[in-house]
Amino acid sequence: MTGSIRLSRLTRSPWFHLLGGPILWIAHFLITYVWVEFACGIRLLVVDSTVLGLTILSWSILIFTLVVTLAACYVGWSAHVNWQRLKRSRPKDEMASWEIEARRFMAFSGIALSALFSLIILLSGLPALALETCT
Amino acid sequence: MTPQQSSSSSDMPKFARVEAGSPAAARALARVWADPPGWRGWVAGVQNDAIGVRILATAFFFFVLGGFDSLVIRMQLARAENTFIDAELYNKFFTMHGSVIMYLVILPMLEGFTILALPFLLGSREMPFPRLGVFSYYTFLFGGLLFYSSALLEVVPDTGWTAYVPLSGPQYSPGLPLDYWLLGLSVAEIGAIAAGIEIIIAILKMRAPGMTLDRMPLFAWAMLVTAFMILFAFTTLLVGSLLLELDRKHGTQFFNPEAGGSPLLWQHLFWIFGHPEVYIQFLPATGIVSMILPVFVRRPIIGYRYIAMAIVATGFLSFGLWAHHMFSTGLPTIVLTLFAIAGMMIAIPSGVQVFAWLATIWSGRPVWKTPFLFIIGFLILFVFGGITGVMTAAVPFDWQVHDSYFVVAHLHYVLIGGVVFPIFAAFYYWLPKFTGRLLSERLGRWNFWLMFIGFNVAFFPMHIVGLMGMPRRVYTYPADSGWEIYNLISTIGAFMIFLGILIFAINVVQSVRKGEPAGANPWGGDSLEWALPSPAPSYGFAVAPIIRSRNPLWEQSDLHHGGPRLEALVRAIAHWPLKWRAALVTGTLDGQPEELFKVSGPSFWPFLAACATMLIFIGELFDLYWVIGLGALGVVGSLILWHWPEKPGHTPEQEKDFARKHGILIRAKGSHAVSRLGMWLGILILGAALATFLFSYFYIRLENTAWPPQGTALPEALLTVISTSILVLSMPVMHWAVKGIEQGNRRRLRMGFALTFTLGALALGLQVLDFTRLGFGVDFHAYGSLFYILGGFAFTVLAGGLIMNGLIQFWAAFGEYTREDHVGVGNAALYWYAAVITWLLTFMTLYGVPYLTQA
Repeated sequence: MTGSIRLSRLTRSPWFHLLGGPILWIAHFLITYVWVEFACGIRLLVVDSTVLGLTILSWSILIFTLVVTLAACYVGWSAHVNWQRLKRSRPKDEMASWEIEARRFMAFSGIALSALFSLIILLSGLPALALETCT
Repeated sequence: MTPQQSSSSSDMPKFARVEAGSPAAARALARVWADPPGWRGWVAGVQNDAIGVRILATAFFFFVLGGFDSLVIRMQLARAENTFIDAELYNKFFTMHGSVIMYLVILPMLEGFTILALPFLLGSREMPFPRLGVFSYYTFLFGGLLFYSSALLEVVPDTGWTAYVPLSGPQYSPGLPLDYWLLGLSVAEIGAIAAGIEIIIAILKMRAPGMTLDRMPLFAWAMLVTAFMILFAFTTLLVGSLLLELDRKHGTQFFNPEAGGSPLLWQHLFWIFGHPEVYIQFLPATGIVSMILPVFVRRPIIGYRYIAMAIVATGFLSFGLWAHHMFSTGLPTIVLTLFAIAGMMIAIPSGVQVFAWLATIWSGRPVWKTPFLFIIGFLILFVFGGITGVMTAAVPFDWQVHDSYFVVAHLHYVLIGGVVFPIFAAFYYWLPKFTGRLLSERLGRWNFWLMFIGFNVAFFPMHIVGLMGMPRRVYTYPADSGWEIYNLISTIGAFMIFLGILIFAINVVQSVRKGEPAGANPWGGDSLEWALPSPAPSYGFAVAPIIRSRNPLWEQSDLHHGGPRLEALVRAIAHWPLKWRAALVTGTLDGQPEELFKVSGPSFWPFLAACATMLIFIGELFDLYWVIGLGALGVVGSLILWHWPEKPGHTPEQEKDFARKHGILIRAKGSHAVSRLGMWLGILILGAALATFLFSYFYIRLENTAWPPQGTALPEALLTVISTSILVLSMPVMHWAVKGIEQGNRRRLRMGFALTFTLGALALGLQVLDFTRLGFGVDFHAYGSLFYILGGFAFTVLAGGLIMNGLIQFWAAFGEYTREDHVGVGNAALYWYAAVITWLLTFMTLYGVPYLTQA
């Protein structure tokens, strides 16, 4: 029993929207943690070399943070596009409307969660601007 | 119809219309879903309500024991320089108290309640794997008893519920006490993981038709996220416990800094479990609050979507807080800020929930019954505990209060205020559904006020005494410290809490014996369970509900109204099949019916599997290796017999006829969707275990300048390259076999599986041979310990794949698999691919990292 409306054209995976932001944060969190522990632990060259007043280690964290924040924003934007599309769709019967409703919920959640986790990713990286990384 | 029109005395709610099915069908359903009577029912019965009640009762039993421990602790601390108990005994009491409450009480209570109530809340007839529920219960019971038997044998652990090394290592905790702690609790943790799997599948695949993800009760959202967290967090703890047990008894060096190991690794592994564990307990409690609060303010909850999102966000963020407990261990500054920010940011989703609850209360009309009193108590105490949590997320503040009574106060505000109060609310709210009788309001109010006042009297002073410098885990303190009055007040509060709980116990006993009849919907509730009589029949709904709202009883006039085809389906299921336990599988997102499948019935094998699991741990405890072997054989044998294919119980024609009429698949050998999801979750657990092993490997690698240690040759990779190549080659062969059965070619299936088995066995044999020539043992250095534990893990995973492969070949020889029905084959293939990937990552690490990271 599947709805008569073809939703696969309208949307990407709803789980991508719901979980994309949080998974990107986890990835950013773990990679930054392991990278800093590794670089500080064996005192890599990037710990002491500086460019424009910041260590290369700090720059690497900042650039990585920026990239991951943009990726999380992309997830949110894609969820938003999807949400708008689903708002316009007209289901043929009740069961098709259940599917659209659920997908809209997931898309909406994706927008909000991506916004939250974009902020958290950004905040996690910014201290590299001001703090000594390895002390 | 509005919720204000509720009746507290009618047998059936006056909200949505509910069909009970014909009396004949109800009788037949009751017969089909009944467990065997007497002792056979205790051992082989699988009904979710019986299992749920057993888990709850067992957890309450442990709660009484853990609570008694806390009273002894408080009596000792009531006076300065007290000699009521000595330091050694005090250590044992606080260890038992923390361990029991954290591992054997709160989570089991929440999981037990979920297993009991979830099918009713979701409009389903059962949990997806009832036998797994039985296994979960008995492992929990046996684990708890094994842990507590240490007290009978006077070998009680005394290192706290965190069991930090080196204190818990072989040097400072010789003998058996810590082994009881590690092994007993590990058995119980296996039970928690098993229940987690069941809960996830029930929520994703076994909801009533029309219950889309955004119409699910918020408790289901909370339990869904919690159950995923359990899989990751408890697996990490199991791996950590395994490493510590190996260090203690088998000479490995994971945590020994003199041989390349690291004591801090334990803290990492423990807190990767430990911090999410707090949220594993807290999130279900928030789910309970979101269910109860709207009913007592007579309006739907405000911000449903935001609460669901907050639950998801909290689940993720909780895994980024583990080093929040390790701020004083010398982590780099940037790492500290990473964890501090995650610790502060988690206040956002928690705040979203709190504001949604406050807004709901603000715009509703509160009815001040006992469950609502506990909810209000929760709100006050949790906000307080949450704020002190954010305070400790600030690194400089944390350094000041680390290991002080301030942390004890925070922890208890969160765990008692934030979790135990909602659990009591849940007891008052839902117990009448399962006993058919209301609890006394008068005793309930005494219960609440004694606990609420007692709690604040007990734990608020701990903030002050903590800030004054009193460290936690001290058995006494000097008379001139100025801490005595605060400690005395805390002790008085603890006894008030005890009195409150005693009144609760009296209330329950009185209610069960002569409580006022509850009726179907005594509170005017909105969720599905209140549409059923109290107590509800074990099969739940005879005619499945069709959900079209988040508050079906308040907002639907008819609980079975839907499209004509769907209405015909839900009514048909009330009458067929009545020879086996049938339950609906619905779409993950949209709740559309997909399959009607046979839920497994009573069986002795899950109980025996739990016994065999226990044997393994007992064998390890007493160094009886033959018992370990016997247990392992027992586990494998029980699992095989547990899953032995059963006869469908009807003819293929009947099946096809029903499927044609109602457009739904009949799965009399078990649901494809459910078993596939189960396999994915199993692989997820393997993945979590592998990630933990790899984390340990890389962590220890970073702690060592030379890798391998000086004097040890780099590993020779030739045999590993050959074995790995053979294993990779087996993947396309497996794929070829699966494609074969998809085309109905049984011969190709058998050939493909036989060839895959041969390749797998060859690879395993070669690699074992390579390990016999390594030239170092497990006890030589952390390098050697890691080599063997990671290799052993990959071997075990592959061996599991070989056993599965062998079984598929065996059953295929008896014509078990067809083109239409071969989900077992797909699952075995999926597992095989996971085993090969595990192998690849493991051996690339073991043989590659020493070359790549040479100094």
